[in-house]
Amino acid sequence: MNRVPPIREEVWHEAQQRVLAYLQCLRLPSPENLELALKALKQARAGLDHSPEAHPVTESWRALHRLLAEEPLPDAQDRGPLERKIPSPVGIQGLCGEIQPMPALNRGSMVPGKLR
Amino acid sequence: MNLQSLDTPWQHAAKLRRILLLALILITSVIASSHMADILPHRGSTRIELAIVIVFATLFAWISIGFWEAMAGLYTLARRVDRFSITLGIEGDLSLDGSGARTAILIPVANEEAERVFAGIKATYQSLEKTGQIEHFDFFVLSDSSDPDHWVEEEIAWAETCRSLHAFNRIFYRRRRVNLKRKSGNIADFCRRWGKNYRYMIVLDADSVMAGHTLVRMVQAMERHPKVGILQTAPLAVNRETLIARTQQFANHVYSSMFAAGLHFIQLGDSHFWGHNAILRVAPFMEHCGLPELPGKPPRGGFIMSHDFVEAAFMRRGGWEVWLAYDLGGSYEEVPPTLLEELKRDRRWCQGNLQHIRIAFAKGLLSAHRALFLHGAMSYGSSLLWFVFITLSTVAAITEAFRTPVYFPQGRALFPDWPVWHPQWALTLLGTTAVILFMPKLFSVLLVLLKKGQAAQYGGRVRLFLSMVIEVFLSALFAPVRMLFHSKFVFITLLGRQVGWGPQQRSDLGTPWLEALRFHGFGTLLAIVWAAALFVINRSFFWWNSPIFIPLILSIPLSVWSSRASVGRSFRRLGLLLIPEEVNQPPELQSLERSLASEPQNFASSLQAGGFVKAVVHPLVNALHLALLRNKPRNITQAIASGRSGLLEKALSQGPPALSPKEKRIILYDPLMLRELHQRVWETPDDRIARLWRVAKD
Repeated sequence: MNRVPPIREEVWHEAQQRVLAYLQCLRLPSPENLELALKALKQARAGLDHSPEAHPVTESWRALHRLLAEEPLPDAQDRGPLERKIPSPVGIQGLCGEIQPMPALNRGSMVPGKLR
Repeated sequence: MNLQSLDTPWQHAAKLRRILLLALILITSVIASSHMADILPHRGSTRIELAIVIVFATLFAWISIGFWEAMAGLYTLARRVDRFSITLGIEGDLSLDGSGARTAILIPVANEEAERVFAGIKATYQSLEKTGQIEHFDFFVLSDSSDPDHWVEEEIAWAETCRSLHAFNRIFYRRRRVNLKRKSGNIADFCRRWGKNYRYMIVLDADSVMAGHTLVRMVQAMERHPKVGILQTAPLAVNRETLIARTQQFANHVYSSMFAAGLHFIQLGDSHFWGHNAILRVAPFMEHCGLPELPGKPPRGGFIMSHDFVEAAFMRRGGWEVWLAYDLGGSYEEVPPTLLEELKRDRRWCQGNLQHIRIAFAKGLLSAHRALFLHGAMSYGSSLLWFVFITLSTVAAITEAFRTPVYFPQGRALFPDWPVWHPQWALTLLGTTAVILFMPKLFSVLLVLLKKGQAAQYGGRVRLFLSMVIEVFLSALFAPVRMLFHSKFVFITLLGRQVGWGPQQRSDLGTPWLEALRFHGFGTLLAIVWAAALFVINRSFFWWNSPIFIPLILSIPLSVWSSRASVGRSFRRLGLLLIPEEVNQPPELQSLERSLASEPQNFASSLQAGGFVKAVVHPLVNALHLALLRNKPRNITQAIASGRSGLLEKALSQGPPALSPKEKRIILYDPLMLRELHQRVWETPDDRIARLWRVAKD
């Protein structure tokens, strides 16, 4: 039986960086970022115990995604109306209707004029 | 709002004024042409001299139009009372309440810098908000951008602008998938979808800025004059720093008010539509201004490129008036920053204007608009005529140098045929031409000087005068360069070759030397050969033509030097070529400058990447793009699915640099692929891929 080699700490560091980079894009305040990152990494470590062939980066990001899907994004001080209007990156399909880039159609006709 | 029609008999006045203009043009042209014939050695009796006189007559008539129009403008402005001014009677409250008029402000864009476009929209929006009339207006950014980066940047800028101004459901964004008929098609598309919701639409350019009170006044003018279909403002050129652009800004400010007043004097309700900074009545526009395709292939056939003139003609054909509000301020635009950018724009305009020759003879149009079509075509055709004139003169001069004079030609004659050259007559004619060309400029400056406090807006009386001298000198330097290029454009268009319709460079980036060499190399070489030939063969003709070939020989350094913002700023520091908006900056332009001076701060600025990469990687941009896309997953064939799967793998493994714009667009259009790519990029353990997509640092 093949034995999976132990994961080096640098790989976990890389996973941590990736998770933090993602959270930074979401513009959450630092404490929320760190809390979510810690949770995601913890879940990833636990997950790797069950499936040791998985990679920490992949597992951590998936764990983070699950966390974001389970609970709404925590309210943050610098999250303006835009962030509340833009649907969460997960579950997009159900939330597409929230943004109205255009008003409702009210069709009319405009026929090309004639030139003789 | 008081609704009343124009009660002035403008049609009658217009007829008389046009007859007068035509008479003045004809008289001056005939006198100058006969003078020209007298100057020539054989008094226009040889074939080549006859051709020279005919071309000269046409050119002189052309410059006379501008001169007499300017004189009409001088008369209008000096009188200070214009009973036909379209803005008369709208001086009261700045209010649209009770009118029920809703106005859409349209901003068609195509691969423009999103940051600049939305900074302009923000400035206009805030200015309109201050009037308290914002609820009567909606903004529509109508995008025809094909570049994937621009597409996504526009979405980000739209969302950020709406957020910062609390303007969701007030500023709308639409991108067309198929860019049928370009700008005119884009506006027609708006009309078909939402036109019925609005009584008016104000069309802006990507670089337009308008003051809120001007927008309200335009709507008030339309309400006051229900027969008006289009009301065009005279935009002022602002915001440029390069020397050539500052020269044009100065000319635009000092001279254009007189020329615009002159145009108004002649045209009255048969005026121009310049495609932007104008208000249009939507219902008649939809009824009468749909543009047909012309039979035949582009550039002579196909869709109509310079649509605005045609739309104005169609509006008049439908019985609606078209007016120029020459005295309405608060309307701004930007000019091309370099000579090359200006020439690139001119190449498109030239093609569009020449296409109008076909339309000029279509049934049902008014003669005033037929004249405008021919006038537009002559704007570029005159360059070719000038080129022909110079060529014919050169041929005549060279022929004359080699030919043995025949004093006693065959046939009976009392006197010998004695070729005579009268340099003093030639100088008189040259002086007359200079008066026709430059006198309006001098009168414009005088008008500024006569208005109390106006000269101070241009840096004072002395600097104003010096600026005019500089402008005249630089225009004279650039004129032969423009002539050569315009001649080439006309020639190419007549040969049936088409030009691209790329985006304009709107920032003050200078022209690199290599690019200048590529564009001006041929002209420089031609001028050197021409000058050398004249120097050897006919020395006096050489000196007469030196104002033409010297600028051509110097065109490369001239083009580069005039494109430098640093040179333009030096002139500004000296108080030269100043415009009032640089001395007392209006709030709208202050707002624009503030927005552009600060680093763009939006919800996606944490990721330093192009728009496409942001749409794939940045979770908020990805979500925004998917939300705006509104594409439901479709059933696709196995072959397409397989192709897309391959594209996804290519994108993932080779990164954004390996993708063509078309492949990027396929990804951006496909919500499933975009979502999957987003996920796989973030969860990839491969460090190389992560770096390619900017989710890991280098």
